[in-house]
Amino acid sequence: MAAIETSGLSKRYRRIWALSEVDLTVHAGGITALVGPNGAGKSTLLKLCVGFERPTAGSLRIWGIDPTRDRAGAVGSVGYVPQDPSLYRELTVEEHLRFAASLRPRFDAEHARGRLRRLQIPLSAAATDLSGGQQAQVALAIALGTRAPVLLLDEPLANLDPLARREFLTVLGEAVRVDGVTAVLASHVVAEVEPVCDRLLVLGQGRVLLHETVAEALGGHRVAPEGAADAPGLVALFPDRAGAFHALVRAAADAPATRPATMEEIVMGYLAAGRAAPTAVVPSETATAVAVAS
Amino acid sequence: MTRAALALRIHRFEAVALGLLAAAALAFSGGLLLRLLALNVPLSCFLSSHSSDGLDSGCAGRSDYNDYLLLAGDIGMYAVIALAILPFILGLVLGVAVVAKELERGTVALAWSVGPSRLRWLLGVVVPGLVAILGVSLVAGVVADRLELARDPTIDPAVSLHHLGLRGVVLPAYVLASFGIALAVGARLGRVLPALLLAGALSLAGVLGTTAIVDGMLRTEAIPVDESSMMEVRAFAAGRVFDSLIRTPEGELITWAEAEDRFGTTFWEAMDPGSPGYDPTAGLRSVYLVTPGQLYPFAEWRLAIILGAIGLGGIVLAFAIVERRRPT
Repeated sequence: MAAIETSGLSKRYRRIWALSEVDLTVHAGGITALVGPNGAGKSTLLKLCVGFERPTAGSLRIWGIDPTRDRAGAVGSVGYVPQDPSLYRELTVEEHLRFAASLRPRFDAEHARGRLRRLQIPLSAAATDLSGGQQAQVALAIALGTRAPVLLLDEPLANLDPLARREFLTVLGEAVRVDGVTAVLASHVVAEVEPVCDRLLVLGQGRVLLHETVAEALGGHRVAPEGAADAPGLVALFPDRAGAFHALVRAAADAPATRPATMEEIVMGYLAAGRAAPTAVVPSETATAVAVAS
Repeated sequence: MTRAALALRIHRFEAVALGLLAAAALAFSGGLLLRLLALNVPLSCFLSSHSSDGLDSGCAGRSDYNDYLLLAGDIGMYAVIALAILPFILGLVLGVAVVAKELERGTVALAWSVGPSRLRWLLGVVVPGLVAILGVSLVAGVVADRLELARDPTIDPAVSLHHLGLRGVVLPAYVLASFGIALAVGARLGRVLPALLLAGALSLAGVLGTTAIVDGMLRTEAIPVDESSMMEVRAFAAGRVFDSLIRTPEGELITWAEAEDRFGTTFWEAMDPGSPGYDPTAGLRSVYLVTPGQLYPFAEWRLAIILGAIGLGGIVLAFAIVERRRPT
């Protein structure tokens, strides 16, 4: 079953297209790393899934439900963790769980409590007394307490220190394994999410640049260190930290004069390819639809 | 812990501030009312103050009567104003806090992503909050009614149009109106301070507009009453006077300016027994255009229903906005 399925999904904010004709199927199970630079459309995609935004064009189904037609059903199918945990400063951790239970009929507060106890986060503590990492864990525990089949995590690592990031990812990985949920984890820190992710989804300039399993991506890409612009299967030339350009190529493991690509290099290569490609433009059919609607 | 208790925790700053404000206003007004009642001035003193014979000599020298007049007059007016303003503040502050504060802080992202129904989320805050402030304003309305009676014991406030809109069931209606407007504006703007300012201005305009409409309705319900009857019949004394007119011998009602044109500039002397030109056979009589005080319950409920409808409209609009808007 598809956890997320989109077809021609587009979202425009005034004159900017945050997403442009995105066709995507995220199958159930595992963690998908949703990576891309700021403004790539990661948050927009997740907000569309949770019904916080409405598509300008195209269609979207989350766990088989269209959020624009049945937002309640879509929200009921997802647990959402925003970048800022958005906790109430007036409530304790325990009160947050009760609050969630009061809003969601089948909220599993005991499940969330158990996770927080294991992390030694005091339930009686006020949300404002918790560290950033602990607040993120509370937000994750609430999302897991929904027992939703799909978890959407909108850059929850962005404001965390390295240790808190690692703890967060460990808890997430365990939850996905134990609870069997599907998670989509938005991040722009590729190296940190790589160990826990099963699939890689690279967004750039509102378009899907790559969507494969991590194994397929690592096995199907190589780096030509000399940066040959005419290398067979060239995806793009991308710079390393020293400024030297290398070529990311689609090639088998035995391709000559190449070495295995890291996940970060694959993402860099596809982002470079995305930048080199024409800027996302309004598709003709979409433009017509928008013109008619407006 | 119930949803209402959690809502109270989330909005505890507003709850405490408004609670203190309401307690202060009610303590001030209630204390004044109790003090007036404790002075125990005989009703005859008040009745005699309205009679043509003047104040009873037994009352004139009473220090408690003078104290009563001082307390019931200026200080009493402050209490009435405090009670009338209280519902506005309660409705405005709480109405803005319910949605705008959460949008400003970003906490709706949590609430709206956990709860499949935004309606349920909003009801969870609106219902307990509204019940609380309606209850307080209902008490304020009753105290204001009692204070009205205490300030002038010769007139039953239930049949008096004096201070219509400053007492009784209108005060809870003010709460509903300002709350509904603040809720809708807060939901639309998503920022506390701008929402507070705009909702305050809109609430004030709404109340002034409604009051003007109701005054217009009362004017159409006014009847002409002879000047001599005004003091004899207390219902007219407790009515709303809209105009002073002249009744001609033919029974026609004309303005004073029209009377001057028809009967000369000194026509009024014919109606004044103390004037050398007094002529009881002239047939001219001074009348007032008065809406009788007996219409008070009707006028009060009419005003309250219009304000309540504005408030309910605002609440419905707020629900519609919340249902469609982004959490930022």
